[in-house]
Amino acid sequence: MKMKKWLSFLLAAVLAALCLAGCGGNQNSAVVEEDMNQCPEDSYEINWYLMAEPQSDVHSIEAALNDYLKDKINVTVKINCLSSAQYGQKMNTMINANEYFDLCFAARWMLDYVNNARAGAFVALDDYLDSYLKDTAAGYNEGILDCSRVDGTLYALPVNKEMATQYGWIYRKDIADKYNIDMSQYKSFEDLEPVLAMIKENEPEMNYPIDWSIDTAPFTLYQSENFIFKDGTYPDDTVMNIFGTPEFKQACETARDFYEKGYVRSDVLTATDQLQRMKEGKTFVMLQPIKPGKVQELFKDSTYQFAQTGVTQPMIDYLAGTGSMQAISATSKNPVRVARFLNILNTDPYVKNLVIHGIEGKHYTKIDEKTVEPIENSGYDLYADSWTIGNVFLDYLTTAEEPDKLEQLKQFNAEAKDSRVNKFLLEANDDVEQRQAEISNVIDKYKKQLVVGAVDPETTIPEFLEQLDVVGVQEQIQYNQEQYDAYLKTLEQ
Amino acid sequence: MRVKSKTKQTVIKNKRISAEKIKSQLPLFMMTLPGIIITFMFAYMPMFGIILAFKKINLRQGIFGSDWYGLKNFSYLFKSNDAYIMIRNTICYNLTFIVVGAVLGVALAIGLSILRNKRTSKVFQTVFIMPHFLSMIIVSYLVLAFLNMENGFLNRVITMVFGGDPVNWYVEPKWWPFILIFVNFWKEMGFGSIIYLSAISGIDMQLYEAASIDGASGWQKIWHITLPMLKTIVCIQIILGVGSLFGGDFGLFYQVPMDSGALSEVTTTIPVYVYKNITAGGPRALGLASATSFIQSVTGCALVIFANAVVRKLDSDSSLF
Amino acid sequence: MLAEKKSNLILNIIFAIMFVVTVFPILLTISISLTDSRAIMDHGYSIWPETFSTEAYRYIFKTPETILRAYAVTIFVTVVGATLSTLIISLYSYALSRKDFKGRKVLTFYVFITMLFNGGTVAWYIVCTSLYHLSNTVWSMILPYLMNTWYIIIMRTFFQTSVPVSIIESGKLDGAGEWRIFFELVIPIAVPGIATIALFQTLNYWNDWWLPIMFIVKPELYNLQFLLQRMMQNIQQLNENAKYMANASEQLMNVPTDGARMALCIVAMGPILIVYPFFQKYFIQGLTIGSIKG
Repeated sequence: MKMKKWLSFLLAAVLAALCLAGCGGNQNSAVVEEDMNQCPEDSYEINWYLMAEPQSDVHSIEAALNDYLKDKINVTVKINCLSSAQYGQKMNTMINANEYFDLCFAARWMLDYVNNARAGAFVALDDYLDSYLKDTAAGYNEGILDCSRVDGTLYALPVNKEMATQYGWIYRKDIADKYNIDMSQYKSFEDLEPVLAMIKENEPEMNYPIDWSIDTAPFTLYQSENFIFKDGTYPDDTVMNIFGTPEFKQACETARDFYEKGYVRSDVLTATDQLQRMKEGKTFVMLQPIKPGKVQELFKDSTYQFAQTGVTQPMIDYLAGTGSMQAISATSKNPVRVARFLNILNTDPYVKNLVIHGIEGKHYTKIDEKTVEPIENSGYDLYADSWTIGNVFLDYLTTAEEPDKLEQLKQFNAEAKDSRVNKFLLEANDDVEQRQAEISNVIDKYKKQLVVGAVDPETTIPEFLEQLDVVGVQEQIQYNQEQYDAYLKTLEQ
Repeated sequence: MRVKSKTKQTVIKNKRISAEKIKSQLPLFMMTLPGIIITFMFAYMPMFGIILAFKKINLRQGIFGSDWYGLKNFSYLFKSNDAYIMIRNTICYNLTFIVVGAVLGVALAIGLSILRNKRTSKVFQTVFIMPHFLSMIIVSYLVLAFLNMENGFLNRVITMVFGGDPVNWYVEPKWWPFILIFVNFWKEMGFGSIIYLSAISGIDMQLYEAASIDGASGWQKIWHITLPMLKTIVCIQIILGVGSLFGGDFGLFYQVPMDSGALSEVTTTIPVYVYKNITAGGPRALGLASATSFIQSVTGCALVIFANAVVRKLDSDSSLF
Repeated sequence: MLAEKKSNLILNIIFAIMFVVTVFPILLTISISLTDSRAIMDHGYSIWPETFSTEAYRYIFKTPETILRAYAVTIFVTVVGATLSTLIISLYSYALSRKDFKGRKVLTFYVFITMLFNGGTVAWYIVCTSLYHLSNTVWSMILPYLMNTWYIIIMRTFFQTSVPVSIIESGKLDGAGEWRIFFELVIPIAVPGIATIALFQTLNYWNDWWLPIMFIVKPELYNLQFLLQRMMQNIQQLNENAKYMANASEQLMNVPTDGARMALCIVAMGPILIVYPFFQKYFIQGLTIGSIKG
């Protein structure tokens, strides 16, 4: 009898909780159309998430933005910066939980643009392209928006920037000059070995002449020489298991060799601040994705001299548009207003430069029309993250950069080779998703330490391949091949 | 006697003077109100989570709007190797922690209690308890000081004293079960012994004196007096521990190994898996996390009830409820 | 007699070894934080600084705003959280300890159930963010820990065993209300128990990093532990924008990465190590009385 009373009481509590919780879902209000030429009367706060180091003086930028935007579209902006280590975890959690925010950075390699778009996390923008986002849409090169569509719909606006990817060496220029090293003649890690051996010998300050992370180890070079993506390679239109290729083995062996010879720190897996170490002059060379002016962007406040030189061809690969984007959240309460803000961000140099450089006189001094000098320790400087925000062709350059950087960027884009796989998207049903998840679990477990050289490829690669077979990599390859063949057919038509 | 008759009176007059009764009960009820509200907010409200495990969750459609998914979240979970690994890890680690923890805790308490010098005993106890009050973040830093590949203390000892090769600790899974178990006892053993020690100090000294007169040795006194007296309290501790058999400390398995993917096979426990899936993208993550939470919750509950029932059968005084 | 002496000696030796094992990691950390970064690079970590240097501490306090702010957040959260939760837990468990309280059984069951069964982290997070809008508020680091079933059980037992019914009866005869009885008669008797809960909750709040990981994005709301966790990945975030290197006078000074991390670690655990021995007497007493089954 008593037990019954308790249980019914408990049931009542849970039911009450259920009812209350039920109200939590479906908070989307209907989209309200706005007149593009008018400033709306109601104010709206935009919660904006950026992948950038947090800045201490962000509030004065917010205040300046609010002043400026009040009479234009009547919004206030809240800027939230998350470092890259945090960004993916935090934003995925928010998207998973359908938490409210307005605008965020997304990409195919961060925050899984494709799958989150398919799951309905972002607002579809196609309808806005000839209204609220008209000016922005006009600014893109041909084809970029097409590359950014998921199943025919555009869910985020690509950042207008260099669209090609190129890898190259970034190195200490003073050291290279000292020993008369011409870095441009080294086209692979293997070629570089004698140089590293020499530096390690002669420069005791540099315990480790080279540095790398999972994304900049020897494997990266092999990877970008071919057209490789998520689960396989496509040099001659056949899908294959990239981890079973001799190239992968070779890359891991090179990494292992360097690792054992002590050219690279043995704790690269856990000590992940490579760029900081480079900045402090502890490293001679690193492989990095480069673009015109990259060194000046990265090391503007270092005491050492750095230079860059390309190794691979600039290539417009599958990351063309989806390498860096701004997406409007499906939980936004006023997507139209956010789109209007996005339009201003992409077209108004004042707003873009306010967001990346800060306030004139406080965070930077203006040298001339399009050049600025950052003020040190001013508490705000997002210039290094400009490539994640809006339109980089609006940027004011810093004095450390070459004045024609933006022209070079345009040139870079024009000369880049176009890859024909860059519109390919894998369709997936439940079972395939499941298999993909398992494959990527196995990859997570092995790839990192193999690629940086922390384990012996001789014994680990066979184990890795065996594990991949167990979770069905062969079926997955076959599946990918079918899809890819179908894609190639549509391309021909 | 007085109290009893009073209760009787209340029962008889129950209906007539209910207004007065409410008035007398009201202040006590008001005292519990903040607790009731907080518990409701943070423990009862999330209980709708049990249905998430059976949904193909897309929160854009709302919790109730999402399609029912039957047991598919579970079948995906168990089709993958993850389920086996994390359940194995969770149970093995926690079982070790509970069983060995109880043994070590009791042993430490007995040891401290029979130390001659009570001052040193106190000092030892203070120091042994201390690690309990450090956060797992700090513990992970302490562990890093030993295991850092470049500069870590252990590698230094290995290379300089024994002339061996440095070990890359954060990619070698085989060491981690021992490291984690050691870290756990380093942190919790002293604290775990407090309760036993205070139970020992509550034992009537006359029992020991009587035993000494009968010629019992030190071991015999421990075996025949101390341990039986600790039985109840050990049982309660184990029942409570069994509840976390499917849960356990998230920080120990996530922060201390630095979330290193290479170690996942020996560090993925249920809470770690749930956290990783919540923070991972992809269409399936939330479903897997919910299904795992569901299993954790239900099994945890069942285990406590089961353990309690077993203990009650064996010795009704020792059970918790 | 001789045998007992011998075992006492062995026991002392064992405990002395355990003592060293317990304290060693902390001494090592202190040593690293006081070692010159150059020496760390050359010789690795050691238990005694090869070259003594306070550069790591000077580095982390170079721009002290970040650390001081994190301290302020931690202190605020700890003081408010521990006070509120001790009050709420004490009130709740006092009512449960009163045999004449009609809701006693139901409300015991009400909190006990939460120990057995929960809805999982996913649902908890959704509720906290979508319903209570706790993201990026200081309350997100306070509210979820206010109630704790385990402490309720300890406190209820504590009140039952250490507060005689006669005191409450006499208070009632004097015409005091329930609240006055609680605050003026019960609390003075229950100090060890309340101090135990207060200490535990203080430590829980001080050591918490789980809530900030889930809810905090804004750097100005980072607490100490969370700052420490973030620093593991990126120590130079401490001196924002890494402008330290640009400072002309100290151009060639390296960022003492390892030392700075460990120094921060010492700064975060210091207060606890200093304060807790003073409370030890109370919480051992409180735990002892509270854990014996009532």
